[in-house]
Amino acid sequence: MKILQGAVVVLYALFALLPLLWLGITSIKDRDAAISPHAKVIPVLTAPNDPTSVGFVPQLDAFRGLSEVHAGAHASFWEHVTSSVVIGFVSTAASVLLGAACAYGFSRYRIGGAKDWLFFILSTRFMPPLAVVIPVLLMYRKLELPGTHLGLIILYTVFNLSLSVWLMKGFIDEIPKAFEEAAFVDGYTRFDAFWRIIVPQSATGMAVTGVFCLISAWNEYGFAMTLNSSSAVTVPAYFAGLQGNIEGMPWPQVAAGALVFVAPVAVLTFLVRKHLLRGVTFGTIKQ
Amino acid sequence: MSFVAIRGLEKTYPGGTRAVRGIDLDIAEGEFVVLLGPSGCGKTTTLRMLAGLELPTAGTIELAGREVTHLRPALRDIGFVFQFYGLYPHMTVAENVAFPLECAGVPREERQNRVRYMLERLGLEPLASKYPRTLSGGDQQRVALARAMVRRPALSLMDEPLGTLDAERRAEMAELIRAQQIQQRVTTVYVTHDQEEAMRLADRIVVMSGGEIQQAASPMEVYDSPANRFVAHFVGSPAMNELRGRVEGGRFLCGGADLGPAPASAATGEVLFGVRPEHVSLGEEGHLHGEVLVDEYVGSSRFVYVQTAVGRITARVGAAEPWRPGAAVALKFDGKGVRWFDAATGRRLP
Repeated sequence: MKILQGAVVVLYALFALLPLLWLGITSIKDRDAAISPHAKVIPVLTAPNDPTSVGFVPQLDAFRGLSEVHAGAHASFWEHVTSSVVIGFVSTAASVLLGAACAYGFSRYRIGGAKDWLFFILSTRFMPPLAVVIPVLLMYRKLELPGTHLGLIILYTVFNLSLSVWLMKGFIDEIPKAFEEAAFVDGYTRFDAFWRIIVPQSATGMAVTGVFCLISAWNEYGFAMTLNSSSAVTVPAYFAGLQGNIEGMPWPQVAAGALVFVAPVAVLTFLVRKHLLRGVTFGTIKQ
Repeated sequence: MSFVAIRGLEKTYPGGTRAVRGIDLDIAEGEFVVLLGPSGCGKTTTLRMLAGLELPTAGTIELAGREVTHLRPALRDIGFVFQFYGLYPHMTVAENVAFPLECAGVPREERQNRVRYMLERLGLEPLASKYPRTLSGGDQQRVALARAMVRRPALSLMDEPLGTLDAERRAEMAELIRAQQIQQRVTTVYVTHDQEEAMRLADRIVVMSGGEIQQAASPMEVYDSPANRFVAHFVGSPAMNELRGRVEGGRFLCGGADLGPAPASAATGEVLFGVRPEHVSLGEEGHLHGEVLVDEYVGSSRFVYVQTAVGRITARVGAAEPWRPGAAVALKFDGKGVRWFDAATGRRLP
């Protein structure tokens, strides 16, 4: 049984990792090897004479090429990464903080119709966001938001807020009220107690929530493509924009860029992996 | 003038539960008052209203001549020790103790001195840089005590602080709390359901039940002259013996036996006769006859449970002589120890 389980896991892992492996191989090819009709999968030291060979000579030109401005784009990969970082991290921070504040309210105060409000907040997730891309575009045009960092920051913050409120409510509910009450009698206001007790206590929860928000903002493509096609372009929209240009797709650079782009999210997810599913129990209170 | 004055205090929870039903209590400066009662009697709610963690539905609270009924906890100058430690898990022991001082704006150096002094007094210096979750329950509660006292609050409130400790630690901590309180002269209100703990600590015990005060008096008075049947049963272990009988011609008659003269205040009719186990003696002749059920040896004495025709009676007798279960025995009541209660209202008759 153990062996069977292991085999299933290994098979699935291979299947899931195959695209990443392919990205890795492509990123160390030259363009000819990348677009050859004969699949090149084995790195070799000297160039094979037979064009149908599976061997190719590995090289790091694609990674060096990341700072070039390709045909069909206005800026280099790194500038787009900067846009992605600004938009992704600012919107994530905003979602998590607003979500935590909102969740704190739902967790600690008696709010009339709290369940209905929470359902309403969740319901904003029911509709595929892209269904409203046109109205959002029209609205944004009035506000002169397309093509700005702020536009996508607001959009991603709002979309992630429902998730953030729900996740944070779970985490804050687990923090015993006694901690805040102790702070109140020690002389602190509710606001102080929130910052000095709730925020540090729910740090793990905030990290988990943050990773979820970041993944969704980081990888978002539809709105990024529609709203920001000329400036403040995030990486997914940048890659897509390279299509159909006069020089053809620079596949090795795209592969190299995609690897670099995946790395921070992969690392952050790895760091919080233990807490992703498990509810975290804090502190010393015996319930 | 009293230091803490509680007037007509009431608390009804939104669900309709009336936790506290009109409490009047005065506490003198430096007094150690214990709120004692079974769970759900309103003692914790009363304490939380004193702290400002709950707001009363009616009534007022005055603290040091200032009305604080609706004031938020931060402005009341109180220390609070929670039943479940309530230490901040993300701070070390020293940081926990320093936290209230930080808020009060005590300068860094003085803060450190006061924290160090407090930790020393409670024997906590070796643990100063440890995190609460690595400490034992007793040590955690010591830290909580240090935190509640470091600011020298006007009023110290404790909600069953020993509730989660084992017996040995309890006695040790109770002693520590009392010693601290005596030394600092901090007015203290302490909640517990453990009557022995209450006796040991209190200057004055406030016995509560059903959201009302049953009796507020010194431990001795509560024990010797319980205001009603509830107090008589709740305080003292084993509880006070109780016999139901009739007063006729100035005599108390119970199950055909004449147990002696009834008090002048008892009108002819049904009354309750109460006597603590230490005022019952066993012998060959006495007021009532019965059969020994259990003989419980507790070291300094023994509790002998005797079944009589009118009910079970507990006697506290000398440890030297064992009593064989099943043996016939006669019970004698010491007149000085007998208390009388109204059969209808449960109030003690003078």
